[in-house]
Amino acid sequence: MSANQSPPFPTPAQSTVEIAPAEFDLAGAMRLVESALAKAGVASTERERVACAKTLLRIAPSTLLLASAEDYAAVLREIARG
Amino acid sequence: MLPCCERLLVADLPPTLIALQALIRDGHISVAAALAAQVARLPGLAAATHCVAEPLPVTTEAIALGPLAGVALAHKDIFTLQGRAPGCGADRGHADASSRAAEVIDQLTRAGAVQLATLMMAPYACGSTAENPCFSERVVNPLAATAAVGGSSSGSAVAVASGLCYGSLGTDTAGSVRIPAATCGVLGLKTTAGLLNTDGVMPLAPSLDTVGLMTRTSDDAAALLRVLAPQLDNDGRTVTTRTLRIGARLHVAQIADEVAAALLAFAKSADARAVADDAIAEHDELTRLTHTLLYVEAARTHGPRMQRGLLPASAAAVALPGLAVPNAWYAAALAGRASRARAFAARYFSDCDVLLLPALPDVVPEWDQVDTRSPAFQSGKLLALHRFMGFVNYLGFPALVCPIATDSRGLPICVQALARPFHEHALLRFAREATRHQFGEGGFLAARVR
Repeated sequence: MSANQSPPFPTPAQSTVEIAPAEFDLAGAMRLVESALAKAGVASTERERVACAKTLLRIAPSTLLLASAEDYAAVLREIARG
Repeated sequence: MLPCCERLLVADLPPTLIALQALIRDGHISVAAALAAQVARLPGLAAATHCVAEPLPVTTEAIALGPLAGVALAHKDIFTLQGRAPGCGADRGHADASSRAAEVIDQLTRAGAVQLATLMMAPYACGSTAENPCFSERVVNPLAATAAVGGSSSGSAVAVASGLCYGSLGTDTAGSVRIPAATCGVLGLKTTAGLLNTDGVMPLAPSLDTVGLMTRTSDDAAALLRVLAPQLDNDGRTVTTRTLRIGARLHVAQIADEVAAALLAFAKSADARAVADDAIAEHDELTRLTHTLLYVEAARTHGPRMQRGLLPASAAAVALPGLAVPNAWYAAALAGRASRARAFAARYFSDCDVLLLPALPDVVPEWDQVDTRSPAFQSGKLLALHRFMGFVNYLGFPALVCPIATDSRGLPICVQALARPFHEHALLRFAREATRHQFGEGGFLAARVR
């Protein structure tokens, strides 16, 4: 089965991936958020920054992933075949 | 159902797209008359439900031939049309001579379908409900005025449920077709990643974005999918006539008792194998990865709007965190996608064709419970709407929601069904058998009208 277009699935570069520092906490997340928003030139409220920091804590990876850069679209086709 | 909707649903036109096609094919109604009848019912339903962003001019002089001739559709206002830029829930769209129709719109037009209107949506496709501060009027659920309408493809679900149109395209990045479909009792199909062309569709998070569709019945969905993805019909590997093998992971500990009872009873009646009331073990991790991609890509999509302070709060809540997500986290989420999809298929689809999950973890909420401006707002009710949705977009598998029971208020309780990539036909077969068994030939909405 093939898709009728080239899907917008970027193939990641490679494989060694940092993990969140063990001490990554709300204060650390706040520093990350404040730095990123300032760099991007986006105005925000304290409440929004705290919400962003909590979001970062929620999605922080806890384990080291060493995934290879597979072709995702090809894998979907492979799975379709069973 | 709102009285005006019920009256218009049963007037003149048949309740399903394929029934209309049969009337046209057998010469009982002309294409022009069919279109005129569909155009005529738009104003009343639009006024009653507020689901229309903009009505579009429909002429019956230049009727296209094709399998969908005589069929009027209406779509989420996120698709570029010929000469029209979409409003994306921020406004009502505007004329733009340089705009070319999105590929999926063009496919439907070439098949003879007419677009009646553009439909309301959560701003920039960010929102689990129809709440939209850019518009003064709230979209109304045609099943019950106090019931919430899910988002972000809210207008699509309401238009189909109310009978304003036979089918509607929406987009699903983390549940935006399935959530509104589940609140309005219609079939919502999120297609396999990459199956339908997203050219001309306003992006949110391109690696998760999919075009989906809503209809009243599975046969109507199949009729649209035949036009949008004809390659599916020609692949013997994905079209099977043998009895579907059904598995279930119903997350019983995480869902409301009324929903759990309905899903367990349904799974039993569907002869589901391996009915497990436990959870998908990978659910939380896959959801975390989904959100990583969603936030980063939404930030890329909406960076300039954020800098100018033009992004509504619901969209900013999605895009803002993405600015701060470390690149390594994003790269890891992306790199792990293929292997996780393969592992998921091996674990859950080695001995089944369709995997059942909850659609919503609770009954359809009341509007006041999920409207952030209401004194009765409960954030938990709002967040719950997409609990079982986003991880499917990360995997890229197709998923469908359809009603399988009614709650104590007569509102739908839906199941979510997943299949292997490109096995949309298996999902539609499942939905056909499930809704026929539960509600009779016409499905949930027809049963309500009776």
